[in-house]
Amino acid sequence: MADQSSDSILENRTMELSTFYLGKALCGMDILKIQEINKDIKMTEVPQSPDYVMGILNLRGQIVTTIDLGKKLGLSSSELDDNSRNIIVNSKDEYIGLLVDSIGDVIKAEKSKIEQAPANVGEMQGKYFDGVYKLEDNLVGILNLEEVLNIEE
Amino acid sequence: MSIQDDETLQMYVEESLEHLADIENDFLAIEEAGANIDEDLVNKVYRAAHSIKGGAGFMGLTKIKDLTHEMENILGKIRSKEMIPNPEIINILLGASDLLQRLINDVDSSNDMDISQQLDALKTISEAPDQEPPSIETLQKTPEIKDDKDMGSGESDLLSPGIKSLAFPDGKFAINVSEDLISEASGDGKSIYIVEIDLIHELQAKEKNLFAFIDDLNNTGSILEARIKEDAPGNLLEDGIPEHLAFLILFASILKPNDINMLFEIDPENIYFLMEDLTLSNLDEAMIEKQQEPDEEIIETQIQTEAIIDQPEVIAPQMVSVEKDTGPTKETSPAAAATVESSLRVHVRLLDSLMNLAGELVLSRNQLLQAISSDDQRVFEVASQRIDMITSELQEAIMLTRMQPIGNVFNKFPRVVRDLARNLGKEIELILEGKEVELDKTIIEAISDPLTHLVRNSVDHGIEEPRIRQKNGKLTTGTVLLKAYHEAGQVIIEISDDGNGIDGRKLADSAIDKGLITKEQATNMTENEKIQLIFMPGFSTAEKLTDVSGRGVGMDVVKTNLDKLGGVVDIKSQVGEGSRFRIKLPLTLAIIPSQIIAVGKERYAIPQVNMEELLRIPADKIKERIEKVGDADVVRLRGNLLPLIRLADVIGIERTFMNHKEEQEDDRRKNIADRRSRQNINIQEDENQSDQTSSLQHLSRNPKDRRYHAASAINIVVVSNGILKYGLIVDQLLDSEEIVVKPLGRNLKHCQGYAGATIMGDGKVALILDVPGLARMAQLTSIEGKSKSTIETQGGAKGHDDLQSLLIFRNSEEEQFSVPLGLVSRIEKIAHNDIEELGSKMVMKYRGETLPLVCINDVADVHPLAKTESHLVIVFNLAGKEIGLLATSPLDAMTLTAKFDDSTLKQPGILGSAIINDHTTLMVDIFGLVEIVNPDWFADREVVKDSGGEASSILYAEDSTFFRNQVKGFMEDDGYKVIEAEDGLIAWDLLEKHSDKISLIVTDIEMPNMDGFDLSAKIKKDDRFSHLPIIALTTLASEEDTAKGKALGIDDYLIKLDREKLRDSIYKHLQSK
Amino acid sequence: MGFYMAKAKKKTKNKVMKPGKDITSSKAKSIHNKLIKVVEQKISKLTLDFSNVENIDAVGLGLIIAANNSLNRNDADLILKNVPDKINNLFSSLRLDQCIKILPA
Repeated sequence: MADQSSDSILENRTMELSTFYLGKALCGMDILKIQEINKDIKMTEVPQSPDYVMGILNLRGQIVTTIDLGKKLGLSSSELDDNSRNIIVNSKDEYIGLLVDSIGDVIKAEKSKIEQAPANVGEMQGKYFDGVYKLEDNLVGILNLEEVLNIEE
Repeated sequence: MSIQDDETLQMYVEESLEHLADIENDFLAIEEAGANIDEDLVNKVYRAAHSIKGGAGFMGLTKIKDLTHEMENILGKIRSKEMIPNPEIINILLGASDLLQRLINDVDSSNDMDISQQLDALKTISEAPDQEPPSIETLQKTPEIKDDKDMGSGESDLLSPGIKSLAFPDGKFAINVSEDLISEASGDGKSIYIVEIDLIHELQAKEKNLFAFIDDLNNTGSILEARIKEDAPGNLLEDGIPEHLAFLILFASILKPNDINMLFEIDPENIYFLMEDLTLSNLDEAMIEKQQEPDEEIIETQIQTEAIIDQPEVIAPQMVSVEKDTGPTKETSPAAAATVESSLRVHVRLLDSLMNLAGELVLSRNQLLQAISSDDQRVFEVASQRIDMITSELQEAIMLTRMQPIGNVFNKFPRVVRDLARNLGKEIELILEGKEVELDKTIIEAISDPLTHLVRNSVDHGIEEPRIRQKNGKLTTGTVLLKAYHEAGQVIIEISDDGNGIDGRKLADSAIDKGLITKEQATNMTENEKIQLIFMPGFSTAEKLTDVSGRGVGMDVVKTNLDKLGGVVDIKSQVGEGSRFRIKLPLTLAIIPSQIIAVGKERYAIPQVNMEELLRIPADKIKERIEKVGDADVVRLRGNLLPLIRLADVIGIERTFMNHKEEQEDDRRKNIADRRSRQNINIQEDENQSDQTSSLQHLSRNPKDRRYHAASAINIVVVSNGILKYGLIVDQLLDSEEIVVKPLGRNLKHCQGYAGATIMGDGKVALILDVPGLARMAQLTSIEGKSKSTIETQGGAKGHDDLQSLLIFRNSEEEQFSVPLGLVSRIEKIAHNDIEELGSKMVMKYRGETLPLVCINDVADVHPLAKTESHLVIVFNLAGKEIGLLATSPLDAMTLTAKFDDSTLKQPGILGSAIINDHTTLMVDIFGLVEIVNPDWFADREVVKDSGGEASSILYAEDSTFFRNQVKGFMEDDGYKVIEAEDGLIAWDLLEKHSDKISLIVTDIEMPNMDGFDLSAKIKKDDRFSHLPIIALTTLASEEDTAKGKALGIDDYLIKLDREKLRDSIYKHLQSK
Repeated sequence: MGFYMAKAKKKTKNKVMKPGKDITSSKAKSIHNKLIKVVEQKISKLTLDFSNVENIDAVGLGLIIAANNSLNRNDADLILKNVPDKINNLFSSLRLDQCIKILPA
């Protein structure tokens, strides 16, 4: 189980990021925010739901709303295949699943090296990202979870 | 005096407690019935007492035997109608049953308890039924002198025997009191205190009312003795106006030392506690002492899964009490003294299910172990999946065992309200709704106190004394309503009263005085915000004193308790009208019974509360029962048209239908029908079942539906939410199940059609449908003018004055007409040649009978009926006869607001016109039309004359000009005189001006300034006018409104434009005067 | 609203007074004055007719008790008559009836 407290992050110099692909873009998220990563993507559709909502599923008795993360961020719909994974996070007392195209490695990022996110990260708006982290051959966009999950009224 | 062995005794105790379980409410019911004695009910209580008595004799429990013997005597007399149960008698019986319960709960010491007082009270009643039985208070003043108790030391010579002299810890004399009063009080489990209180200083200076203070004392205990402290200063007139008035009060109360000062709010140094040995001690010492006493009534309950698996014989056929020790396991509702209750009643069904799950868990575990040892990946996966599922189910099932109906808490309130009301001299009716709503046990326990507080508050401060109520034109009996219900994953508990409301300004002023808010803050507050001030901590007006219910409660504590549960409370109040407290508990564990249905490949749940009926229309009956109105479907149900919605369409999934599989479905459903009978759901099956098999042979498989393929039957779930009723077409009807409501996440909160989700037995998620939400979704499509349209049933227009359901059609091809859908019986289609002429009238043959036909152009000056090959016939039922109006397509049904203009284009047969869908549409006056064509149809109701021998005058209030003119026209046509008013306020003025002439009032509900409800209430409250019948015309027809109207005194509720019913109703009400 | 004296014969040393609606702190001064005058007259019995009394508070209660004490010191009695139920209940709760004679309405 991931520990949800954010205080520990502030104290350390590094943070662990779980990375994943949305299309070609490599994104990352603080591993402490992740509840679990599921391979099971069978879910119940919710007709008339917003287009980025893929459905709901049962996670040990809790209803988890699963969204197509790429779609929510403005990319095209994800295609479900064997590599797809559902990253379960807990936000505001609710479980939400983020469907991603595939999972990458867990990396240790030095906080001092995290740069501010530009206006656009790949094809996605910068506001969804807390920052970017340079890898040898790639750039990881670190997701701002709350912003992503925010519902526009 | 032998007491039988433990086990027998235990059984006796359990049985007796069972008998006593309902006795309180039974007594209250007997009291309610008064002279109208319900023999069966009295018998029930008699038998209960008799059983207890029998066992007691056998067990050697003398006191129990004596007590029940006397109770039996009285009950016997009531049963044989020799005695009428009045409140005094019931009071004593209630007191006796309380004592009985205590005796049984403490059965081992029951023989040592002193029950003389109750016994005497009972004897007095049974021996002299015609006299006013002595009240408990007077009995307290004349204690008997008992000689079997030796009451310790220090008796003064000057005192008569039996009087004890109590001294303060420092030795100074405190007060004299009769020993019996003390033993009586302590026998009752009360704590006894001596309170030294300076009435002037404590009360006057703190603005507390003397009467209220004394009332509080009497409500929370009894004043055993009191005296003025003589050496206190200021006791002579010569010393000037007194500034001190010190009293010593010997007070017995259920309040414990920890709480007693809530009542007095004085320096705790001045409160002394009477110990067992009759010495007085300081309060804090007493508090420590008391805490060390173990609470004997806590009984632990454990469900041991091992025990369940190994010993299936534990389960008895009926309800089973789960126990660890041999303690009584009945769950008594938490009494005011809050004994901790730790046992449960659990349904055997649930235990069975737990047993099964445990068994499955064992199997899966074995499987897992095997997989580990054989290192078989596949078996691993299977086993772990299974364990996953079972764990979820186990979790659910265990949580279900903790669910208790809120009735357990509600049930204690009738008594509380009754007693409190009596003490305060008020008349109060308590209404309880929603007793079956289930909540988790901890929540039920936690809300008991806050609820008690709020109910007492309503009784104490909300409802006024009968005298004041009457002066304000209210019924002398106040109403307190306690209501619980589910709303999408939450449980709502409402406490409302029709008392004098909460005055925000007074609260604000008080808060300013107490320094809780500043004047500036107060000026910026709305009335509502000011009312919320009542929850501020530290807020103590006179409110606080009287609302002690045992555990230190004030409004702020109520709020804190609720916050802890994650609940919210809000207040709505109007000065002079009443208050409503609404508690919302956001439980994810709200359980509701529901009907599971399937559409496409998904399952959905429909809450039972919304279910009306299930219909199944076999393929060959579809043409007959299902009508097409434009693109909308309606079904004929017992003479009325019910709009249909295809669930698949509304939520936008592909239509599919079940064909072959239905064969199997049928069989299942027959079983379901049997099981469902206890839930009052009808399944209608049409007569010829045999046809189905033949028609099924002609199936062809279609992934997409073609409208009403002959081979498919239609499953319709008739749902409603009170206002709205419609049929939902689904693919399959599955079981009815109790489901746990889980709220949907915020991403889905805006979806209109869903009220939550649930997890089915197989672990999959099913959405719970929101009945009004679905209707709204479907309706949205019609208002946008798309091809689909949906309809609301007659009288179901939502809330606006002008929102109507209309049937739109043509006569000639160019002109568009409309008629209120609610008046339409059905729609037929006939070929032109089927129309026959009978004399000058047109008729058609319909089911062996002749149906008269009429055209709009027969009466009105409009273009004639189009000459098409086939016609539509809109059938109405008027004056008990059917008549068909010929019409031409296109035919459509809509619900919309349309402003009807009733001057232009008005003529006989036409009420007015409006623009609908860009066409000028004429509203047909079907009554007028038929009357002109068949004047003899409508029975000539003679006009009811008033006392002056003239036609009666009717006062009619309606703000919409269109309706007002129409309905006024109807009434004037019938021969009455109509005084019209545009609004409730104007109507009232007119009523006062012409009070001698007006015989009846007809009123709309939705009006500005003063609506129909207010007008009716005002009329009924006023002696001058309360005798006048009131008929309300409305487009709102929900049960709530009807009930509200009836409660206000509205005599009849009709739908606008139903001329016939109006005429009949007016006649009826004027006649019966 | 204040007291009005009923006609009392000077020969017997009994006095009857009929207080007004409120025996409360707001009327304390006036009531006190009138009572003092009566006490000083050394009568043997003072009867207070409570027919018109509706309200009494702690100060009023204090006045009555003080009056009783003063009268008792002079061997006089205080009697309350026509006491309305509500007030009578108050008096009996506080056991006032044990030191002052009370005649209910």
